[in-house]
Amino acid sequence: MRRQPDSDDRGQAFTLEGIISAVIVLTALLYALQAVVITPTTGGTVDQGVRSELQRQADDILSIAGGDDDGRMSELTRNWSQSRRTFYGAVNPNIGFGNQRLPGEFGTLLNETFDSRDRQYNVVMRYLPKNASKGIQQTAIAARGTPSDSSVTATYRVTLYDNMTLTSPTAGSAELWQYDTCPTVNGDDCPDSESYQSGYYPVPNAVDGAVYNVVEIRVIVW
Amino acid sequence: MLVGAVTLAIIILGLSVVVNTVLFTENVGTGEARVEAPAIEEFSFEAQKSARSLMLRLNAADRTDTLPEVNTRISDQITTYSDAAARSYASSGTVFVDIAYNESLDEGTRIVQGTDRKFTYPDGGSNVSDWDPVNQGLASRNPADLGWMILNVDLRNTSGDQATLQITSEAGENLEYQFNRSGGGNGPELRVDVSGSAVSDPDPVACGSVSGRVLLDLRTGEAFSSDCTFDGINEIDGPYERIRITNGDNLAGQYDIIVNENDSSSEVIGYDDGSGPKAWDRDCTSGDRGPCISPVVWQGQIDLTYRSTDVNFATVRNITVYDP
Repeated sequence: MRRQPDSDDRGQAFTLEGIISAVIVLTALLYALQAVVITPTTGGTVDQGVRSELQRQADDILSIAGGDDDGRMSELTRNWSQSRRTFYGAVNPNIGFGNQRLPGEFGTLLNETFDSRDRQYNVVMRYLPKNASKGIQQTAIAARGTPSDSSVTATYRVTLYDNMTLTSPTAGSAELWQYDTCPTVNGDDCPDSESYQSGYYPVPNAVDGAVYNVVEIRVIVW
Repeated sequence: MLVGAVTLAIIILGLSVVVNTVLFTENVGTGEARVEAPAIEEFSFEAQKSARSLMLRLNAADRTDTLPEVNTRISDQITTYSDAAARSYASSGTVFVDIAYNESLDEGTRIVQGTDRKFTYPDGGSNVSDWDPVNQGLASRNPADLGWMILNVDLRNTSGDQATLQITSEAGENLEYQFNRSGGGNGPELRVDVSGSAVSDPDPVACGSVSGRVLLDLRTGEAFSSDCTFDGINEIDGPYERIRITNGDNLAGQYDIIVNENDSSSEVIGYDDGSGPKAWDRDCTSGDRGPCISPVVWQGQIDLTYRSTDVNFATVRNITVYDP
């Protein structure tokens, strides 16, 4: 004769069912958590949305400042003070304008977009060397520190021509090809400097013919 | 309870699949293409600007060049520029760019006096003071668009008496520029007096000289070496029928006029040496001291290529060198 299940047996069955249910749910949760895609933002160190915004802003600034026919970005690269061996109005050759505002509309745009939001940026002028084996050379337009891992970079290129002149108020009428690209006459850094004609301008005549150099303006924001 | 737990587990697993799909799509979707769009736009803009600038310079490089020689010179220089641009882009990442010159689509004519002399036309042993560098008055000749008009005035040999330069458009509008040296012929400035149907009789202006030279852009109405400005030829719409010089022996220096007509069989650039309109036939030669003509590229075509690991962009662009 079979024994009818009493209340103790029903309690044990419910307990067992509860345990099995919990195991199933917990297993599903564990699997779901393990299966989450690891993205660049998962760790919280880099905000992809902010980086995209900074990238877009930097691209827009360069497009606005360079995207006209009156050559304002070209003028920036030639705004050189020979006596100070850096850009006209800059602090010193190492940091360029540093934390000072850059001249012209380009400087205004950078200031209103990044300075006012406590963003840091470096602006660098990179140009082709006279000797192709030496690799790209660069001069700081505004150095404000070491970029973080989450920095973004935007670039704009301008073409300089042999018959262009420097645009700073102190510059003479000499054309770019007439300048010496070594800061000192026959200095240690430039043993092949043969003559010192019209002063020092770091960008060399790296291209045959009418083109003088292709200069990249690089903005690094973080 | 067991059925509920199984249902809940299926829902949790389903949600995890949906969330992961969204995250994955956000991170690998069109991100790279979006990042490169401004770079391609910048490359295209700057390459076209540089190609135009090179064509402008090389059109004026040697006035004795034939059209094939001008095209070869442009092609070579754009190739050199392309190599430099490719080096610059390669230094920033795995991007290849190339700019190549295809051909000239439209040619023009440069009417040039490249050495200092009076603004007269040499006719055998004499010089004609009243003549037309551009005269498209005959029915077989098209009115010409003007792309360039620069005067490089030699002030020391310019008279205190007036020389006149008159431009007449196809629509019949005209501008008249009267030039003379200030101080009765001994002053340091060039006096420019503009009149005509398109302007309301402005006051004359005095343009200062540098080392005895005054460089004027008549299209925009400005001097390169001083602050003087006046009404430019752009005040009247082209195309233009005629550019006339009167009393050219009172004005000395050099000039450069570029129009979009040429001396091919389908187009004619006309002039008038005082004996009636005719086709220009004085091709520039080395040592030529008088006004002569040389071919220029008015519009050229270039190929642009931008290639990276994610984007392959190639296009053809027509470059108009002169903006009439």
